[in-house]
Amino acid sequence: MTPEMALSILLISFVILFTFGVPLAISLLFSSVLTIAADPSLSIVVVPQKLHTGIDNFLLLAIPGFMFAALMMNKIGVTRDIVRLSDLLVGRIKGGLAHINVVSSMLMGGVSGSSTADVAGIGAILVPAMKEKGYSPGFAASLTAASSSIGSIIPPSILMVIYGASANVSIGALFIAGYIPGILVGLTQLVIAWYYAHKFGIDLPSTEKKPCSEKFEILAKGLIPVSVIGVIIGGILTGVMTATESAAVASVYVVAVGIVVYRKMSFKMLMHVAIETAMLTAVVMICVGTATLFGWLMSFYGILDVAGGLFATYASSPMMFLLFATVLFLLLGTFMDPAPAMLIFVPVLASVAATIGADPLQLGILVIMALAIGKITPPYGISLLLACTIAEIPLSKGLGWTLVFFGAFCLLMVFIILFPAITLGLPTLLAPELMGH
Amino acid sequence: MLHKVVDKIEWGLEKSAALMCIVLLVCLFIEVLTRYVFFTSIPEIQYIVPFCFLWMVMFASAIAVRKGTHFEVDLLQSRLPGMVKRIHRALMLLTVMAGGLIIAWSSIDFVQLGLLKKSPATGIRMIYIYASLLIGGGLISLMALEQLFASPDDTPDDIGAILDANKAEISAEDLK
Repeated sequence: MTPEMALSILLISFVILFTFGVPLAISLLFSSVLTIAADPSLSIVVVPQKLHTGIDNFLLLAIPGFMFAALMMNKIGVTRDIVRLSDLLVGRIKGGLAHINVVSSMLMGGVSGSSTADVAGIGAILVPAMKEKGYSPGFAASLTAASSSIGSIIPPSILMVIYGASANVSIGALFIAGYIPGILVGLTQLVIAWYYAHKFGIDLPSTEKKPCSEKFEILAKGLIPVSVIGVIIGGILTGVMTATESAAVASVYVVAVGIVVYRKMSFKMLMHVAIETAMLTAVVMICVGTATLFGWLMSFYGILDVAGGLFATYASSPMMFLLFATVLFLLLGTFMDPAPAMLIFVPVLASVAATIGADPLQLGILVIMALAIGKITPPYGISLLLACTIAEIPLSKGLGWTLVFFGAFCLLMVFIILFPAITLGLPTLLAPELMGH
Repeated sequence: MLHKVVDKIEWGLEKSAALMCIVLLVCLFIEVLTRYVFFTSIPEIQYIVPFCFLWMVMFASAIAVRKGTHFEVDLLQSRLPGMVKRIHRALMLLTVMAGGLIIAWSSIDFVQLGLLKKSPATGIRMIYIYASLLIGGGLISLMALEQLFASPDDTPDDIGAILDANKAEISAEDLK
C-alpha cells in the first residue's frame, strides 16, 4: 500500500467518525486500526504499545496534579478571598464590579487555571451584582466569559502542559511565557470595562472607606491562595522541581492550606476531589494515548513531508506560519474542546514550525490563546453559555459584547505575532536554560 | 440486573481511581522531599507512579463512557429528531464498545510480553502495569454495553451540573 493511500484511509476515516459524533479517543483508535488492518507490514501490537507510551508520559503527570490543586482550591473556598482581594485592589475604580470580575479571573487563573470554575464560581455572584449596578446582562455575561479565558493563559495551565508534552517544549518556559500575554489580555478587558462604565455613567466608585484592620485581613487571607503560584513558579524557576513535581507539591500544599487555614478538609472531600481529578485527567489521557498511535502512523507514512511541502508553498515565513496556525486554532476552538484540538494538530504543526524557523514557544502561546477564546465563541462556547445561563439571557444577547472582546483578543494575538518579545522576552530573561535554543 | 452490577462496578472503580490519584500525587511529593531533605531516592516510586497513572486513566475512562463525558463533537447529535437520535446514540455506543474490545484484544500479546519484561529500576514485572490496558478495554466495552440498555433521558442537564459543581461559597455581602 502506498503512503498516500494509507494517509487517506487514516485521515478520511477519522474525519468521518469524529464528525459523526464518535468520541475523539475512539475515532482516533478506529481510524488507526483501519489503517493498520489495510497495511500488511504493520502489526496490531503497535496499538497497546503506543497507547502505553502515550499515557505513560512523565510530563503529563502534571495534569492530575494541577487539576487536583485547582479543584481542591475551589472546594476549600478560596474564591471568596480572591474576590475580596480583587475588590480591595480595584473595587474603587469607576466600573469597580467589572474590574473585580477581570482581576479575580486573573488571580483565579494563577491559582486554579480553570475557566469553568471561574465563570461558575465568580460569575454566579458578580453577574447578578453587575446587573443590579446597571450593566446590561449581555455585557456582564460576555465580560465574565471573556475574562475566564485568562485562566488558560496565566500559568499554571493544563493547556500549557498538553502543548509542552505534544510539541516537546519546556512546560516551565511556557508557564513563564504566558504571564505577559495573560496580563495584557486582562488589561485590555479592564480598559473595555472602564470605557463601558464611563460611557453609561454606571458603577461609580464608592466613597465608603474600609478600616485598615479589615484591609489587612482581606490582604492576608487573599494572599494565602495566591501563594500557590509562588510554590509552582518558584519551584520551576529555581530549578528545584520539574513542572510535574511542582504540580504534586502544589496539591499537597493546597491540602495543607485546607487543613490548617480553612479548616475544611475532610476525607470525603479528599476522595471527591480525587475522583473528579481522575475523571478529568482520564478523558484527556485516553485521547493522548490514541493520539500517540494516530500521530505515529502519520509520521510513519510521511505526513511531515506533505505538511512541510504545503507550508513551504503557502506560508513559508515564520510570521505567515504563525498567522496561519492562529487562524486554524481559532476556527478549531469554535467547535472543539481545546485539549483534543491540541492533541491532533500540535505534533504536526510544531514539527513544521521547527523546519520553517517559527519559535515553538511563541506558537504555543498563540495556540493556547486561540483555543482559550474558543470557549466564548459559539457553537462550542461553553464559558459564554454558562455566563448567559447565570445572567438569565439567551446566548444571542451575549454575542454583541463578546464580539468586542473577541476582536480585542485577536488584535492582541496579531501583536504577539509581530513582536515575539511579548512571549519570548520573560523566559529569555528569567530562565534561558529552559528555552532549549 | 446488568444496571445494578455495573452500578457496583462503577462504585469500586471510582474509589480505586481516587485512591490511585492520591497515591500518585503523594509519591511525586515524596520524591521531591526525599531528594532535598534526605538526599536519596526511593526506586519503587518509579514503578508505583506509572502503575497508578495507567490504572487510574483506564478505570476513569470506563466510568467516563457511562457518564458520557468523553470528548466528542455533538453538533450532529443535538440536531437529530427523536428516533434518529436514539439510533445514532446506539451506533455511537456500539462503536465505543468495539473500541474497548479492540484495546483489550490487541493488548493480550502485550500483556504476555509484560511477563518477561521487568522494570529497570525495581525489577518488578511490567505485567502489572500492562494489564491495565487489557482490563480497561474490557471495562470500557462493559460500560458501553450497559449504556445501550439505559434510557438516554437519564443524562443530567450539562450546564446545570457544571454550575452546581463549581458553586463558590460567596455572597453579595462580600462585595460591600
